[in-house]
Amino acid sequence: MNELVDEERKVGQSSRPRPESAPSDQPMVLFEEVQKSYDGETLVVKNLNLRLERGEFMTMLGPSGSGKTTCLMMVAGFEPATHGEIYLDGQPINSVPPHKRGIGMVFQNYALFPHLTIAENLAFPLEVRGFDKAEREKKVQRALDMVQMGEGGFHGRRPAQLSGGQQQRVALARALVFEPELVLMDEPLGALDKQLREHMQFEIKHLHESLGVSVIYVTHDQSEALTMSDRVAVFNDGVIQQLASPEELYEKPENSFVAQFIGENNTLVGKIRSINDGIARVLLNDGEEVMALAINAGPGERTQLSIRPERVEIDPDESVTDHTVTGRVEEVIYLGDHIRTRMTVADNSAFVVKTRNRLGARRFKAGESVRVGWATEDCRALDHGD
Amino acid sequence: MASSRKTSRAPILAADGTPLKQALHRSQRAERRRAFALVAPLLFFLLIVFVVPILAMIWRSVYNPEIRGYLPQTAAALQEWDGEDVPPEPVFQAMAADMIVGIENRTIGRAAARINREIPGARSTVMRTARKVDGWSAPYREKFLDADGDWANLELWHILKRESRLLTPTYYLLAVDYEYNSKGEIAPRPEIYQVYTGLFFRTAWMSILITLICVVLAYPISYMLATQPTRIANLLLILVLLPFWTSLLVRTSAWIVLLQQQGVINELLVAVGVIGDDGRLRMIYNRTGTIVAMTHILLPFMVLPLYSVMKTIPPSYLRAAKSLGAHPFRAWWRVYFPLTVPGLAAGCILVFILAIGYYITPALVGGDSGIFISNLIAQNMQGSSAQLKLAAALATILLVAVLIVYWVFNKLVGVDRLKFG
Repeated sequence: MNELVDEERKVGQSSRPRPESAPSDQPMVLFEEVQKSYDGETLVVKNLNLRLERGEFMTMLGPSGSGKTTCLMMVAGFEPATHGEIYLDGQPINSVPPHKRGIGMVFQNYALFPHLTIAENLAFPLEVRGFDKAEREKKVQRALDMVQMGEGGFHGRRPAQLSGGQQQRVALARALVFEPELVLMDEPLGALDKQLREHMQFEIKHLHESLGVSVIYVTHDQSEALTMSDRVAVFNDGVIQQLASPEELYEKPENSFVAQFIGENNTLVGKIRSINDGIARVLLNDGEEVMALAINAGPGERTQLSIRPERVEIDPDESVTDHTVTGRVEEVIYLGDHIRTRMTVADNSAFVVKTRNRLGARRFKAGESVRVGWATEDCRALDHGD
Repeated sequence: MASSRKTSRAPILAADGTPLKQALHRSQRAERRRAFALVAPLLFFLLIVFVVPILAMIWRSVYNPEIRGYLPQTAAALQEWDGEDVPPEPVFQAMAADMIVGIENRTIGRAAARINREIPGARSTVMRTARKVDGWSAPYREKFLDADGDWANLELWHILKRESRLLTPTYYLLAVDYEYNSKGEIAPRPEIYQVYTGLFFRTAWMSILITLICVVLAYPISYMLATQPTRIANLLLILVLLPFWTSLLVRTSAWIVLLQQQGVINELLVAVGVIGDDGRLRMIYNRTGTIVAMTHILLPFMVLPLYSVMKTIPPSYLRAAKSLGAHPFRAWWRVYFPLTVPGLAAGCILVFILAIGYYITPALVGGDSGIFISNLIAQNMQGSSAQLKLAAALATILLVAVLIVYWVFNKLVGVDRLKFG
């Protein structure tokens, strides 16, 4: 990884020249049947197989304790895999110590060295790689420019003298300054306030695009994952529940966990009576019958129907929806650009409908009884969940 | 812009027209008084038991009132003396007058004892003459010289003149193995009396050695304490602190049991056959004993500041350094070690300063080669040969040495950066 990258290359150019010898068809990272246990009794990561392509931005998303950070630490080399092999650029790395992996890493609390100045922090990885002083200064300046910290006299300051957002940028620059091909990020935006976090999401995304590095990004914030990633791996209980693009993840969740975890979701509980051509007829708790796409529940099984709030129509036109069910309005919340109507549908009192706030749109009142409907393709019959 | 420049020139006023600073000062007065009232008892206590005794000790180490107090006229008359020959009549006359007063007040014996300390045997000269002097009349010079030949001894007069100064460096000279020779010049003492300088240096290097051993032992222990889960760390910390729960004397005696020639370790080594019965190791009543026992006693003072500093260093720093390509040792040296320096420095200065003034352990297990300067200070404070002023001078030198060490330390590390726990 000490390969010198062409000095003339300008920051912002999208293609990264690679050493001639590197086999470019190898995936950046490959997990093969990886298992991890800390105590020998329970598995934190269960039989993980995962492929990260070159230049890909992949997010590991999941609740805390789902194994996502453990996976990241195994790639970085701070946790050994209990079983299985991890390949970096085609090479098995289980026995390679962290400092020889050449992977850039951004830590949760930045881990900037408090006793070194910003310039010294950035020069650290260059120093250990034996770059001479002039070259170090050049690269440090370039990395700081990259995160918009090149000017303003930040070089000589200590990390404690910077704001959280500035520290975050420095940490990012430090992970990129030695031009690694793979960068790991462990909830790097967790400590920032919402506005700054959203701003940094775009900056990281743009850096990824312009540098062409591969990124594994760990977060528990699903909107962050959807905004930034090429693909998202949703973790739960040590297993990847679904690995897909943000769009597919939101539109086509493959199980009830993903449907619940990503975005807002309405759940109706019922039982599948029959499946015909991939369309399930589902008997809801209150006796009404609806149709849904059969995803991972079979005939006779209990099922959770997943419908996104913005796909539900109130008093729908028969041509748009296949059928309607009865709902009772519980609460109407005005949110400016849209209106949320909470209602009870088939015993579920948390059924939410989002409607665009158009001119002349009808406002409902609590207690009113309405018909709601949706297209069959927007309703997915998933596993029961328990 | 204009208004802010204006306000910075003129003092800002409070609502009632008084300057804001004054108003602030007044509003905080009660607060300040309360704060002072809270610290006052401790301040008073420290003044009485710490500052005053130390100042008294320093004063005592140079204060030399005897000759001037008991032989005031002689002291005054000697100022005129050129020191070339036996003093002229006025000096003897003054001496006679002082002796008469001295006999009356029963203070002549103390003056004689003081002179005797400088010239052994001078006490009898003074006392014998003093008993006769009442019957004499002027001129005195001949009668003094007839009564005792020692009055012709120039050295006696030189000493009387020198010691009639109110402040004297005599005890400091003694404390660094120098003295006034018969000609009144400062010269090294005879070699067999030279004990203090060597002992100061021994105290210093043994304290440094003990500090270094403590560093070597405490650093890994503290690292382990700081990185273990809390439950294990607390247990280990109790083990480290266990020595504090037993009396110093008991611990030191335990070392005697272990290390003496008929002790546990020697018996074990003989039984195993590592050493022969006649080759038993001498591990106590010498330097080894002092170093072993003191290292054990002072170790917690190194562990605690190190541990408290290491606990605050997140493990992600080392991980970050490694992920940036640094070999584990380099990561430790460039990132972890510099962050532990405040604790390390605090531990070092604590252990060193405690060690350099240590008394009881060297006294019990030090033998001859393992005693410290404080043992001689103590010796000079006890018994019939007590020389309190010499003890005071030695203690003052020790105090100054410690202050210098502290000052150098402050220059090197910065005391405000130290973390004691």
